Amino acid sequence: MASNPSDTVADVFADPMGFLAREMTRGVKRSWNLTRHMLGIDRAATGATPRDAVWRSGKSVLYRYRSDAVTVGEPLLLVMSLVSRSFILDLQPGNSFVEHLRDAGFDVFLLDWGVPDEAEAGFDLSTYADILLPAAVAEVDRLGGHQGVNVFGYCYGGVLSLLYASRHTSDPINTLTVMATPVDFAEMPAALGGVGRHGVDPQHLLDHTGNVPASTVRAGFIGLSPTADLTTVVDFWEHLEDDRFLSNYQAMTSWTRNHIPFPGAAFVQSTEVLVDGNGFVNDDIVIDGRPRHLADITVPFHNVIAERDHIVPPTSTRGLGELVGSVDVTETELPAGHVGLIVGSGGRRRCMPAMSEWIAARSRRLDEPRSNQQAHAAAV
Amino acid sequence: MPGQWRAMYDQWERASAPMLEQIAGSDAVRDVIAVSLSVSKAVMAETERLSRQWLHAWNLPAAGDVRQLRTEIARLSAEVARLAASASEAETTITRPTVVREPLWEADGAQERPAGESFSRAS
Repeated sequence: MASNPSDTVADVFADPMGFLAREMTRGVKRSWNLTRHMLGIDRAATGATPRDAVWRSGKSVLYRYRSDAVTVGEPLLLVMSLVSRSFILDLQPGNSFVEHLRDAGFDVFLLDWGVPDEAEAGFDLSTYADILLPAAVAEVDRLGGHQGVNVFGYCYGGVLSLLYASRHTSDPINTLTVMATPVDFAEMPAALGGVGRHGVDPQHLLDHTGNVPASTVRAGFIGLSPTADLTTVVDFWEHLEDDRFLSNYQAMTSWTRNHIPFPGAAFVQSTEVLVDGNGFVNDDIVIDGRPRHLADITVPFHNVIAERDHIVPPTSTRGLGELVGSVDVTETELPAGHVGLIVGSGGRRRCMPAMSEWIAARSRRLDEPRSNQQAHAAAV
Repeated sequence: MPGQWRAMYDQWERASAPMLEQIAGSDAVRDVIAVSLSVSKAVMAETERLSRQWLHAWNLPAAGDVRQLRTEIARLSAEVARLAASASEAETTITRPTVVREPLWEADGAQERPAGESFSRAS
């Protein structure tokens, strides 16, 4: 099998014993790493930034990340997608969007929707955008001392944030950021867009719990890039002796291969309103009997687009800034993929600062850093 | 020699990925999925109906009954949450103090979006 890529044929013949020694060392290392990977020994820790659950409603949990140096007045609420695990926002120590935001002085909260079962099958878009999200924002605002809240939606969490902000216009939202958020569903990839009036009946994708099973959600993503899984395995085999690579591999695959079911009612409604009706673009969204218009969003608004996003292509989200009614609107295209915005060295260097600095510039800076643990204790 | 197998894989991947992506996103595959899902749904429904009949004959609850109860509880919970949210909203409307938030972002004093410059685009 493969050896050290830097070894050429000439190197091998020039120093056969050295080559042999290197290969043996490498073989032992690879065997050990393969063994511990297969047995699950010393697996990469994910979602490790210290946090406290500060609010719950059913399976939805609001987490607050501990910080001793909050310097931004308005807390930041991260709103997660419905179909993926929230630890992608806090992947690993040193490779975490949450960690970056915390170190940038934010009082960071995360709204995790949990894993739905029969109990959530009836949750429609209104349940998330009109009940759970407003309640979480109110709680964050209360814990933050009623200074307002910076709302940040990732992927489908961005969709929910848009639906929420377009109706709850008097809620204490300081800024709204959406990242890799689909808006023009006519531009979504065929493998994901094959559901609806002209494709698969969304009702047929629901399992016995009334939700779209996680395996089906994952199959949709595999369809976008059929060779990606195999390439991941090939990468794994090639770099097996590299501890750092193995740690990153374990963290990422535990996310990419571990989706969660899409709540049935929300899925069917999304298909009708957002896919078939292309509601955001056509300004034709009626949920729970109430129309929503993106133009009703007037808070400072940031649309973050990933240039190489294969899940939510830039064409499906570009121009959202023109649809909202805010005066202060920024649309930023960053050189990353769907996940690369918040993961990896490129995300850390280029993408995360662009997002956190935009919010910080529109928030109040505290005179002195404070601990959110004291603030938490006082608020509770 | 070293790295060659990887180069070969990359070459194969570059050649086949676009074709596989095209197939995965094609109408034909979508139709096959639609039909197979429809058939499996029908088979599942019939199987459930028969097993439910048999279980009910023995006065036993079927999985569908438990599911129905859980769904009903969830619906009621959601309804309670919805009512609580409405009540809270009504209460807030009555009691909310007027808070004047200083628009920090409007450094240039612009109160309206400038015509022709609807938003800034950065990259």
